[in-house]
Amino acid sequence: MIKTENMSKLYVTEEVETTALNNVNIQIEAGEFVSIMGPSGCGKSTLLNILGLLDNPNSGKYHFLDNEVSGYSERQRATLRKENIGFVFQSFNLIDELTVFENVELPLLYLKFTSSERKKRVHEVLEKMNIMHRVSHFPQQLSGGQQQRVAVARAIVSDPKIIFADEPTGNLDSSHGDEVMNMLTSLNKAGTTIVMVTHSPTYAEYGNRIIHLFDGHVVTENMKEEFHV
Amino acid sequence: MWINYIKTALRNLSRNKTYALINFFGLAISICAVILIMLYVRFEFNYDDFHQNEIYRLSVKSFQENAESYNSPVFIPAIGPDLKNELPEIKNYTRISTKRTEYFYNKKDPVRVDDLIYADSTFFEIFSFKLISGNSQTALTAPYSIILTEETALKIFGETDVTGRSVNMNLKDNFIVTGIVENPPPNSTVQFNALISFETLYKEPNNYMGWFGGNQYITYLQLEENVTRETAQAKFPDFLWEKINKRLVDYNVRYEVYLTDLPSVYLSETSYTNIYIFTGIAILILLIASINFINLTTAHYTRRAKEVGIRKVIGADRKTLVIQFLSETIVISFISLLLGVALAALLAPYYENIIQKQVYLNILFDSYVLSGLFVLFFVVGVIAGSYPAFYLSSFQASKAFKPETVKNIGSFSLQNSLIIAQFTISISLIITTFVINDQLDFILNKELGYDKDKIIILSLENESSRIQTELIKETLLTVPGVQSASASTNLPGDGFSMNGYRLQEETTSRLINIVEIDDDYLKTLDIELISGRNYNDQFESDKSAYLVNKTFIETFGLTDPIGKIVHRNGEHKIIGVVEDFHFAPLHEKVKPLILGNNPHLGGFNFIALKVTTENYSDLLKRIEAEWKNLNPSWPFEYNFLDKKFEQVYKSEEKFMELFFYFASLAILIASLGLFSLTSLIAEQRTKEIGIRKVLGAGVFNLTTLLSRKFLILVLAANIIAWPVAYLFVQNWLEDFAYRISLDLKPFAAAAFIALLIAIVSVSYRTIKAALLNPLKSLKYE
Repeated sequence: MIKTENMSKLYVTEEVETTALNNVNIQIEAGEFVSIMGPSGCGKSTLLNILGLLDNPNSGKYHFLDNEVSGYSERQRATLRKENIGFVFQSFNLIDELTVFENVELPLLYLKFTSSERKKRVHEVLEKMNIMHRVSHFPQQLSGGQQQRVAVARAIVSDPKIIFADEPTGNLDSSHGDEVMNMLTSLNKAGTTIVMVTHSPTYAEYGNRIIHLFDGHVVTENMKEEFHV
Repeated sequence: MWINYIKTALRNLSRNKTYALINFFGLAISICAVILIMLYVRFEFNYDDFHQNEIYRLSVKSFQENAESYNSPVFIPAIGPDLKNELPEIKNYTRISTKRTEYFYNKKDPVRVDDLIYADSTFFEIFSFKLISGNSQTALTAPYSIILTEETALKIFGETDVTGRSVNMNLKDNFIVTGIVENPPPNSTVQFNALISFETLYKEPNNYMGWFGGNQYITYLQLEENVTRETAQAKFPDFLWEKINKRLVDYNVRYEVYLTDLPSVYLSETSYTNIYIFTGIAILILLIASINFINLTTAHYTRRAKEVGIRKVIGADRKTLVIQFLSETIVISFISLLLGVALAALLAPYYENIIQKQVYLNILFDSYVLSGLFVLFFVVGVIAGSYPAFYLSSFQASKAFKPETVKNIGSFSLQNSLIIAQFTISISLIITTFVINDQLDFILNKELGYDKDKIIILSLENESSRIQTELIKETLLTVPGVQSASASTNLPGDGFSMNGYRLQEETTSRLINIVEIDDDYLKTLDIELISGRNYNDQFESDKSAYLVNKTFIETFGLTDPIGKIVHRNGEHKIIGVVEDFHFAPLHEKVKPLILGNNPHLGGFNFIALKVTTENYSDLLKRIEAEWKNLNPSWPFEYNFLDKKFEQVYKSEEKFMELFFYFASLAILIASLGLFSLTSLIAEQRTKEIGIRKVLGAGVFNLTTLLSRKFLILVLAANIIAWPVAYLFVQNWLEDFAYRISLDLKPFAAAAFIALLIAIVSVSYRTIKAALLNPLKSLKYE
């Protein structure tokens, strides 16, 4: 599903040149749950951004769903993204001006679903995330755990093939963190590929593979158990 | 999707009320100003558009020794009929006289009617004025026929159903009312309160109706179909040669006539300057408000970078985002447009009062104006939305979340340039306002060469009063408080008429201004005699003598003027020279002037009284009592010389007033923009302020830090505004023959005011931010 070949990313500012990723070669198969770990500044988020088609690498190749996308334009990436990818962030990133329903509905709007289809899907996914009772609330009126459940609902409402989660538990206490991890696990069980960046070794264990990054390099890949596609 | 956009937009606005209010308010009042100015311009451009026919007005240029000396629509009466008779290109003509003021007697008291004109029987064939009763074909055919406007009929008769009734004019002739006409619309060049048949003029023995005199009539023509103005005009030189020019060769005088189509008559006479200036101001106001809109929207959208990021991550591409942001600004612009239209409708009556014109608010709703407004708001919306829309949507989704990306937008150079542009406009407007005001002050207080204060002017409206001026003067001088009295054909202020005169050695005559005065004129108006002597009523020979002004002797190079001869219907000896005084408006330099002592036919037109008191009401009662004692049928009409003088500059004063209002508006919108921009920026820098405070920065220190940039921008704006404003006001002042010399004062004052405005707008928010508990500022992030 995902394959990178010698992928590198450089950040250039006026004074310094920072290598965020250096010859990264990874492969992720459909149905996997991959955790990415590493210290602050090792390039985890950069890797996730590139894998999630939010950014382009400077060199190397990136195959996403059999497309070589490293040279894709913003527009091409946006099209692939909205059809195949869901995101969950540490800081939830809900739009403050929109209600729970409207936030979750947003990806469907961009995918041009009909109004009745949108309503049906949003209700289904909110039921699934157990947040239906907050449907017309605004994000500020929700607890962190509730906000993250909304964010997950938004990520899965369009039925993406893969979900990228950037420290989804980082702003949550442990019980809410566990809740989110259980959700991701059950999504994975239902067939959705999940790539998650985390600091927490405990939550990293929820994945069936852990990729360790250090200074822009992949240092180890531990396969937790035999994985069959 | 649109619902989602609108929801997001409205919720965003309601969360940022100051931003929303300033945007709406600024745009709405600027749109209101633009609408009001548009209405004014449209009114000016739609003069005479109600006439059905294509009408041309005949104008005449006279050349003396090949220099143009006269250009006016007022010409002799014979040209209209002769043109029609001799040139097949001319389909029809109608003549009107210059305006008269006459008195009508229905019952006992005279009723004054101004703007009375004599008009040919073809008047209603050519013009589209609406006759309410009477026959448009015949109403002006017979002599001593009169058509009244409804208003005039009400004034004279107390009712409008008066067709067929008789009315006396000036206690002399009786007229038959042959029709009632609607009042001419305000946008008509031809204005009148009553029309008298042109035939009447031929019945008066003193009227000259041929080719060599009677310069009192304006001729309007209609051309045959398929005849262009140019083909008709091409025939005029030969025609004129036969009729008049060949007989003037010896005098070195030549006439040319040309046609002006009626709709451009008004605009060719009123200078385009005011239209240009106000259109310019409208554009500037709109520009300032749009700049606010752009700056505020951009600064405000930096807060929405997170939203952009989220939308991008979720699947929005750049186009969708651009559409979203543009539609938001267009919605704001549209709401402002509605507010602006409402505001304009509300203010229209006050505005009409200021510009002294009817603006026809209903034209706002004609399809032409509506579509113009629609385009306007769309353009403003798109311009204001474009920058933030394209800028924000260009963020990479992954970067949009990062606070440092967001911060960068607040300090980009476009914002600075826009602020400089705004303040350049504001400062230029302040400078211009000062200069216009100074110039007006200068004119109104200029040494005029005569004393306009405490002078009461009485009009001699009646023939019997005009020939008894000596008796009137003697009688009025007995009224306590009346110091001196003088009779004359005119008083200084709005200019004197001209006649042809020939100096002793010269062979050709020149047009020179003339006023007929009595021997008390110089004393009453305090005009200085610089050589020779004043008239003396005891000397019969003084009746044919002349006084002249200083410019007269300078212009004609008379080193020893006393005793020199001027020819016009005989010889006139110059007996004295007076100091120059401004008998005409100060737009022009003082011209040569003859002060004669022998009023034509009907005698003097005015009595001027120099009085010792300013308690006019009592004095006027006493004067009126004496006046009515002399003859109760004489209308008692008075004016004040200083009022008459101010009247001359009324249009300049109105211009100043209007300019002041619109300039203040522009400045207000600019300072509001600066105020809210600093609010947004202070808010963006809350964390920085907090950190600086924790590290020991004081309020003064922080305020300076936050304001410095804006003060530098305002100073930069001054540097650009000064030369721009200088060129503009210098150009405007050129129209005045007497004008102030520009000094540094208005420029320095404008700079000071602009800085003050900037400091006040900036410091409120920055001081507030600086006073905030640093813990709160830090928590904010």
